Amino acid sequence: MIAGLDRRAITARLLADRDGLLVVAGLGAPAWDVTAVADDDRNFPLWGAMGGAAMVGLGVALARPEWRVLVVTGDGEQLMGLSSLSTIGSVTAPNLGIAVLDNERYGETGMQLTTTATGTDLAAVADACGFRRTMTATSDADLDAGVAMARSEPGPVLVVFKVAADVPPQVVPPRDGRRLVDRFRVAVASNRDHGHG
Amino acid sequence: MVGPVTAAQTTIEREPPWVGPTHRALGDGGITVVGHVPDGGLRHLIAGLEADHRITTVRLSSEQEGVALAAGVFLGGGRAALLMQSSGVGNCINMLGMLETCRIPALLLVTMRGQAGEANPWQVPMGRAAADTLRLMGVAVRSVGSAEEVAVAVTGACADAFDGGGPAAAVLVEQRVIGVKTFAGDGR
Repeated sequence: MIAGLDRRAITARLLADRDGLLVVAGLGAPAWDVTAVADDDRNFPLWGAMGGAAMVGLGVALARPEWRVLVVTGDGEQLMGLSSLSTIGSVTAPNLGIAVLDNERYGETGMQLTTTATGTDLAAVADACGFRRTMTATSDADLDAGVAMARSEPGPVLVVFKVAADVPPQVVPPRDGRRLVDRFRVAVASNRDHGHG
Repeated sequence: MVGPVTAAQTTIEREPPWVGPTHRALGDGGITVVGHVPDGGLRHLIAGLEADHRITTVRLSSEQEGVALAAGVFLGGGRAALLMQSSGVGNCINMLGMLETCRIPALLLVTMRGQAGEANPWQVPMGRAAADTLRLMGVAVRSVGSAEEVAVAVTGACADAFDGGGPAAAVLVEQRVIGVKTFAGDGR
């Protein structure tokens, strides 16, 4: 375990200047992180469906190739959907980026260790599954490259950010799934011209 | 990398009569993304869909991925269908909760194992439980027992799910339509 990057600061950088960016957030801390930047109609934060964030992102990316789609999720969430990295690596999805905020912990249930704490390297897994580019950011010097890869390099790409195991204040998005879906769909449809790959 | 086709994969040689109309029903229903985990009974349909340039097919590593995929496609304004064997329904359970909570429509086409004539007893429990499992998770279920009904059921399920604001809809194709998989030594 290293000292760890600041998850909120990284999320703010990932979502900066976000015209043309749709965001899917994995349940728990990544959903709070994304909402702390802004409770934006173009976010789909999950309150469940653990292991599904990356595939939700793939679905959006396939349906809306003119938008960049960024999945922001945690190590525990991505580990539960580990096989989806194989699936995503097999498809053409140039507009899909995945950012894993990896604190090596299950943050919502008491900070129990995940298997990234004992050696599972999610960037290496994604690389072996055929992702176009992957990297692991462990220091501030890696952030520019990591953010740029997640936001704009031809996908599918996956960037692991090794973040501190701290617990920033919860900033929760709406819980009503139907509302989250409706506002996202309206935002996608009404802002179609603003999207770019 | 892909070896020769073995005997077990060629049990069903000719395209069954329900496949073409079902493919057309999916297209007419506005389906543009299809996620699938193969089943012997689905192989002609999957091959046809993969050759259809109007449809993006995704080879799922596990069926639950498809539920999340379908949710994302709907968020983006599209319509997705998932193809799987009855055993795969069990892999989807928790993810199906998202479709109900968020009222996200999707079409599931499930080929049944574990029914009449099944030669693998390990297929029986999930085959028996598939329809009830889907209903418990909020999915509307249509079970079809003849080849002529499959495409009609797909059309109806698409309309209910995507046009009617309904929940996800599943069409279960019974094993008597698909046929029975045989194993070495069967019939001795």
